[in-house]
Parts: sequence; structure tokens; C-alpha cells
Amino acid sequence: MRIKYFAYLRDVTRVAEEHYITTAATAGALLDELCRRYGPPFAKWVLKPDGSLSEIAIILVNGRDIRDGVWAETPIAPGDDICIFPPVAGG
Amino acid sequence: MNAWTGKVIRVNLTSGTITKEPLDMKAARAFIGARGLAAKMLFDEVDPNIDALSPENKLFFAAGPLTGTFAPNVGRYDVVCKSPLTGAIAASNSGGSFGPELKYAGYDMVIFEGKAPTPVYLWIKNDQVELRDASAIWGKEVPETTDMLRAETDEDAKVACIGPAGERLSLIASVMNEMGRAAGRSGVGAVMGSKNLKGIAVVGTGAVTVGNKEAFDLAAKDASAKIKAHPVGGAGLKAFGTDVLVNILNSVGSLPTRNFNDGYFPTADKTGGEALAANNLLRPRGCHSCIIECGRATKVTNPKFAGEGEGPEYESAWGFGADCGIDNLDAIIKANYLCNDLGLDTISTATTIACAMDLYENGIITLKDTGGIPLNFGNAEVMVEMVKLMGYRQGFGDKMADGSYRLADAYGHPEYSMSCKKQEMPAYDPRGVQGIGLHYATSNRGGCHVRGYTIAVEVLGNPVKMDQHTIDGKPELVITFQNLTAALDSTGACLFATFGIGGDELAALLSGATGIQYTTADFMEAGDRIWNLERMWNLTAGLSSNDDVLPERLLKEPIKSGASKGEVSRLNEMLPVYYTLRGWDGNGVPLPEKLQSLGLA
Ligand code: SF4
Repeated sequence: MRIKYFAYLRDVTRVAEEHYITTAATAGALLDELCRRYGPPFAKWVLKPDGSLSEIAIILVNGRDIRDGVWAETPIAPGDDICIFPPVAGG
Repeated sequence: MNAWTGKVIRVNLTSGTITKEPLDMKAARAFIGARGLAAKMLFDEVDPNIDALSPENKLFFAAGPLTGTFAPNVGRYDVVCKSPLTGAIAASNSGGSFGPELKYAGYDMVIFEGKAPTPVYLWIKNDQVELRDASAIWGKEVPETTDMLRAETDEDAKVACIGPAGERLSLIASVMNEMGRAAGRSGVGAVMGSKNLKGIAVVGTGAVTVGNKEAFDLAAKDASAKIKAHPVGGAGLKAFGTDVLVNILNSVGSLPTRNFNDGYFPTADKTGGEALAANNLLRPRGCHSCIIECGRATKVTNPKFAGEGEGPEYESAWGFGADCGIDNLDAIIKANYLCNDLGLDTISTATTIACAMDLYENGIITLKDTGGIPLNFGNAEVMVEMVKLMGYRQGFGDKMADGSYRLADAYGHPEYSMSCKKQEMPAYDPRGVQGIGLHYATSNRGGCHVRGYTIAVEVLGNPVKMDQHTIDGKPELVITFQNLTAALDSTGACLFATFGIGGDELAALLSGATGIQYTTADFMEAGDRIWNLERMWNLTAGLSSNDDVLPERLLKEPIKSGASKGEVSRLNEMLPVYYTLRGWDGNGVPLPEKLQSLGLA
């Protein structure tokens, strides 16, 4: 799958996007894996202090926001495009 | 008097007389200030059927009761008049320090009537208010105008003025204050130009008092803490500015591309807030009392587009970027600087260029029309050049200086104008984000995002998330945002404060500042009242439900690529529900009982 990182997350991952191979079957499991891989500087933007997924981080699977469906339980597959944004906004 | 200063300056430019009046406190209580109160006064004083560029139009520079207090993010004021672009009511909101300075000088608003026989500017220093000759300044761009007015008055003066675009009555001209802050939309700069009014310089040494100091202190501390604790208000906007939205909207397939021919721009990342922060950002910049600092002080070193100034924010980066098929950030920033200097609205300028490119690519206009300029999508040099030509109404720029609707209509194809009520739509594709389309169509000032920013919920999930692609619950969402924003704008607070606080906190701030108790329900009702008053003014001006529409392209041509591929706007399903929920009849006219309940009957 292809994962794209944005805003602060790029400072941590040092890449804007990467091809990534995982056994994770859901978006939540993938995020846990990425948080372990990139550590607290990454995790602080996508997890709440209690370790659960932030409600205001924007995580897209093939352009669809996982919060519109089953959120952390959203199934993921090898060919997917994943976008991960920390909580940011504008207007 | 607390929060409001209780005083209004009225300037008759025709006769040169200046009077000071007490503020109508009953109206202030019901319509709050700034946008709401000026709309109420426009409603009472100006026939909606006048020509917007005639001396009969009036121009209000209005601060709100919170403007200039020490609450967080309350540096805003509104410029209100009849819009020459839309024919509807215009209220363009700007930040910086001009609004607070007006309050410190002792005034809630300045009203301009008539037309000066020769160019003038208004100089306000506390009690002393005078009209001065501006003949030597007329013709100058915004930075030079600002410097000259400061040199003639006071080096600390806060200056609002027009540039060459406003002087030339461009229907998309802005009013600029402190050089880089814009009351951008709806052509308010042209109204200023039509009155031969070049600028206002103000110095105030007073203060804004509050009615209940203890309650206000508490409310201000609470609001500050909530904004600071919020990931967006506290850090996100400062680091990346609003331009961080480019990648978000592109990723969800709703970044209007090449004049809304698509909703996805493959190289958009080159124009986003991340690229801006990495390559061009000098430092973040904030308005008066701002603890967010979304403003961008930037620099371009590329000799072709070199310069230093403010911007771009998201809308400008998108307009001169994806909407023109351009991914050259240096060129985008340069175009933004030029708009600031010439006094042009960035959204309408950019999207008018995108419209011209669309007309050109489809053979509706040719090199013969453009004076030999190839207006292809993606041509960054030409895009920058067109901004200059528009600001000075030179060559083909003259035809483009009145916005995309007049341009496309002149060539028999108004459907190429991506506008609502003849005002260009901003940077969210209504085919991919359903609620914002309903807002564009019903916004009282035409295509505009900031009066009903449903993107916060539909895309950002802030404070809650709704699916951007569905229409369920969207009419309710649009109405809530429209009412909240009408009330918020009227206080003098910045919309971005809502990334942290909402109606409860704003009502508490307003109560503490004024000493008058506003519940959250009172606050939201004031927003509803203001929205309905603006609607009534527009209906009398001749607008109707026929104007609550989106361009055909968005209703019939699906997005071609990206995550929202295949989608069209479902406006026509949402609109009747919206009317009913608003308490309006099937033609979008407020019912008598609705008006009665809001005290507007
Ligand atoms: S958030 Fe931006 S627009 Fe709002 S007050 Fe601060 S700098 Fe001004």
C-alpha cells in the first residue's frame, strides 16, 4: 500500500510518502504499527493521551475518511492509498 | 457605555460635513455590532434598488463590541454596503489592527455617504476628525498609499485604503488595511472608489471598557485556554497557515481544478502549506489580540517572481494554483502580493483568470480577444501578468476586472463563470462536499465559504464529523453555521476562534464585555435575525430563489478524477428542506411569523 504523510508528520517520517507492507487488517492496527515505528513524536498527533485514536486526526483510506464509517475498524488491503493528516485546519 | 463606544462618525462626502451620532443601543443589542448592526442600518437607510456605485450607496466601516478588547482573536471589523458585484448586501470582514484602533479613537463605526468632488481621505485622531485632500495619493498602490497617509498623519496610524483597482471601479476590488489585510469580497473597494475616498487613517489612544470585568476576565481566560489547548487553534494554524488545506481537500477529491473542471490536482502538494512553510515562510503573523497567528509573512527569492509580503492563505493558493492548473508556488505567491498591492480580491481575481483560461481553451475567446496573450491553463507567467492588467484595467485585463460572470457573459457563455450571485466560489468543490454547496447557493453575499464553514464538520471533523458526500442533516448544519457566523462576525471575533470555542464561549464573552446577559440561545437567535435581515434586504433588491443556485457544471458534470470521482451536487434536494427549516416559504421568502419571532416584522 501507499501511505502519504502530511504537515507535522513529515517532520517525523522524513518522507512525504512511502510504499509500505503490513499484515495489519484494519486502519486502527496500521496506525498502532506506525506509532510504534515512528514513536511518540508521531503518535502524539494521531492518538489521544489514553492511546485511542484521535477524533480530529484525518485518516483517509482511498480518499474516504474512516470516521465516516467504522473508523479504527476500517478494513485495509495491500493496494490501498492511505493519507494521514494530524489535526490541522484552515478556512 | 461598555464594549460599544456608543459613538458613530457620519461623513457626507458630497458636502464635506462630518457629524457624530450616538449609537442606537436598542439596535446594537439586537444586532450586536459590525456586520449585523451595519446591515441593520443599511436596511433602514439605503434603498436596496439603488446603483451600488452611485452616491446613494452608503459605506460602513464597523467594529464589533468585542473588537479591541483583550479577549483572544477579536481584531476584526466589517465593510458593509450594497455590493456592485452581486447587487446583494456586502459585508467584507478584515483583521489586523484597524478595527481596534477605531474603537480606541472612540468610535464603533464610520459611515460614508455621497461622493466627494475630488479625492479625499479621512483622518481620525481621537476627537479630531477631518477630511483631507488625497489628490497626490490617488493613483498610488496600497503600500505607497499607506506610507504616504502615515507620513501625512501619524507614523502609528492604522490605514485602510484602496489601490488602483478600487479607483478604477473594478467590481472585485478590495479594501486593504495595514497593507496586507483585506476586506476582500464583493467589490467593496469599488464602492470606496466611486466615492472618491482613497483611505482612512486612524489613531486612537483610548480604551474599550467592559461591563462586568470579573465575568469578562473569566470568559477571556476560558476562551484563551480552550483555543490554546485545541490542536488546530493552538499550533496547527500557526505552523502551516490555512494553506495546509490544499492537500486535505485534494486527498478527498474536492479541490476545484482548472475552473472546476475537476476536483483533483495531481501536483497540488507543491502548492500546499507544507511547501510554503518549507520554502517561503519568514514567520507567522497575527491580527490584534490573536493567539492563533494564521497569517503568513513570506518571501520569494526566485528572480522571476521575487518579492516579500503577506500570504497566501488557502483560498489564494488554490485560486492561483489548482484552479488555474498551476503548481508553481512562487508564481502563486507573487500573484497574491500583486493583489494586495493593487487592492484586488484574491479569490475573485484568481477564479476570473481560471474562467478566462477555460474560455480560451474552449475557443470561446482567442488571441485576438486577449491581445495576443495565450491564456492556457498552467501558464504561470501569464497568470501573474493578468493580475497586473486587471488591477490597472489594461488590455484584456479591463474585461476581466469586473469578475468572471461579466467576462463570460460578454462572450455569451455565463455558464463558464463559477460563481453564485455573480460572486466567485472559493476552494471547496460542492460536488464532493454537499453541505458547502448548499451554503454557497444560499449565502447572502453570493459564493463565499466563511459565512457557513461546513467544511469544519464535513471534512475536518471539527467539532464533530459528518460524511461530506451525504446530504442528510446538511440543511440543519448549514443553518447552524450561518447563524453562528452571523453572530460571531458581529462581535468582531475571528472565525478561526471557533477552532477551540463556540456559541457558549462567545455568548459569555459578549455578556461580560457588554454587561448585558446573552445566553447561547440569545446569541444564536441574533445570528438568525441578522441572516433574515440580510435576506430581506436582498429580496427587496430584486434577488429571489432563482439566485439560490449553483453553476450548471456542478449539478450536471461529475468530478472526473480523484476520491470524489462521479459526484455531482445534490443542491436541489437540499434547498427545499433548507427553506422550510429556515421558516421561509417555497420561494425562499421569510414567513411573517418567522420575521415576527425575530423582531423583524
Ligand atoms: S487566526 Fe488569522 S485571521 Fe484570525 S485573528 Fe489570527 S491571524 Fe487574524
